[in-house]
Amino acid sequence: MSHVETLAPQPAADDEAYVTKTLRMRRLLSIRNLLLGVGFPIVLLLAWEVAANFNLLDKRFFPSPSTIGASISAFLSTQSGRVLLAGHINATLLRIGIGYGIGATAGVLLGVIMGLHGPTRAAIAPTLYAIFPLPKIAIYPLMIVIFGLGDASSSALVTLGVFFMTCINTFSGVRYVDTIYHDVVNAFRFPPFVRWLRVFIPAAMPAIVTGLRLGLGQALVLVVSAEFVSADTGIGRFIWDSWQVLNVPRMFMGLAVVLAFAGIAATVGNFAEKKLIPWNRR
Amino acid sequence: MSPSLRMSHLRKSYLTKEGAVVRAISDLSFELNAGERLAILGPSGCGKTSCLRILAGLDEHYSGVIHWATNLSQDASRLRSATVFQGDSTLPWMSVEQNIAIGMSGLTLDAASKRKRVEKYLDLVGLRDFARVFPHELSGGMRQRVAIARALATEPLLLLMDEPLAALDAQTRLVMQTELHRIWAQTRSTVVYVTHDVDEALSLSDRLLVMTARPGREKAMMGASFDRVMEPLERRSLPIFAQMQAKIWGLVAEEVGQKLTRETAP
Repeated sequence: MSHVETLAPQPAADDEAYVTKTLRMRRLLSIRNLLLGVGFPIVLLLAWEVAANFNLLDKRFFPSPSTIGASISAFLSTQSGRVLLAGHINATLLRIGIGYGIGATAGVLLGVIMGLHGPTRAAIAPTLYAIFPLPKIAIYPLMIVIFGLGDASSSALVTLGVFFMTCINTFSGVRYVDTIYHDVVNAFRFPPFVRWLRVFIPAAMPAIVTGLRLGLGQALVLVVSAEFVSADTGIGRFIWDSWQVLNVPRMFMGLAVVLAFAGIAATVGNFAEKKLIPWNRR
Repeated sequence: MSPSLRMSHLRKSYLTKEGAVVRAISDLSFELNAGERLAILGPSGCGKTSCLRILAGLDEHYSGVIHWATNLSQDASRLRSATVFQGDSTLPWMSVEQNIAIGMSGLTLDAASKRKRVEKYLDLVGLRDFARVFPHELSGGMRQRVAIARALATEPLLLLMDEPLAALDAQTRLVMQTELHRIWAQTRSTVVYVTHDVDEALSLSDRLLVMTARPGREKAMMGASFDRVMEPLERRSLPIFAQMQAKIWGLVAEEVGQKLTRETAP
């Protein structure tokens, strides 16, 4: 009997060793991946720095990162510099805020109505899908004709882009609600109010949130593009002006601000997803 | 006992997208007594699900007469029929208790009675401890219990089940059969149970309706030959179970065979 027992492995001890080893491997792996993820952009910046210092890049257009950093901090250390940048940021945020607010509200509303009401859908859907692929910036001249130069026309362009993105996503979300939910509301004789507010709209919520997120990205693209063309203020104007006077470090500062906007938008989107569709885990 | 439901000469045709007419049910009649549990069996495509959808009120385009015994306009606290679907039909954005409560949203019930029913049927399906949990945190079998509780909470005149256990694994299915049997005994439900699983039909029903291949009509109607209080596992242990099983398989196989011959014929 005893030799059988000695032949049998000692599961507890083995498990412990295995678990320790696996946990260590996992930890090492995640540290490695973190180092790689952080390291890669640092390597890129270093390469840029070296290339600029050895005149492999044209310093007028690509000054070294350290030069850019130095001029940015010099710019931001002056009161007038900070006020100037804040003014541009405020102008852009206002345009996005107005355009996104109107566009998303209208888009979600019309999307739901189209999903709910056959005749509206039949009337509007073909036109909507026909216009959708048009790059919105291409309609900007029209917007200027209608709304004039400045805030109103840029907000209108943002409104339009956000509207299409949210409307089409909301519509397809509501329209293609899983048929099982239709069967449930019909078989249990749900009243119309309950059908829409507690079944179909929540069922479409993942698509609605996707539309709202894509709309926010679209808003950022459009506002910067519009400001390039026709505004006295805004972060797009700041980038363009800096470029025109070949103040490249300031241009990069503008780009950094746009990246920060995008980062904030993504964070807000993630938060909205967790709040609005907690059941939809990917 | 007077029949709780009488269906006479039900016919049902579909128009396909290509414009062809497909007759799903050619002539189907049966009666169902209050508290009776009827299983409908048949080859796939025989119209058993069509029949169930008509009874569920999900399909109003049919000919024939369906006579319901109770005048439900007098009782707005119950549904005429409630359905448990084959796939997962819980609403993922609602907790278990909300899922059960919303099933009653079409009924005239005060909040207190609704609350009472939710608790009662949560207990009955054994999900009391999961009242505030969301469906994605539950197993497939537990989600199906939620769907069953939602249907039972409407205290329907007729409980309809469309292969409710088909999506579950074999072990869970066996456990759930016993559970269903117990639940029906407690609620005294009148049930129409569609399945293609002969064992399941025999384990759960009082009567079995075997349908022909499309267009579906009655091939055979027979009693399950068990004491109705007898549990599924006990039924399976009796010699008569195997005999019934063989007999029904024979009937179904004939239909499947015919369908195959017809489909492969030049």
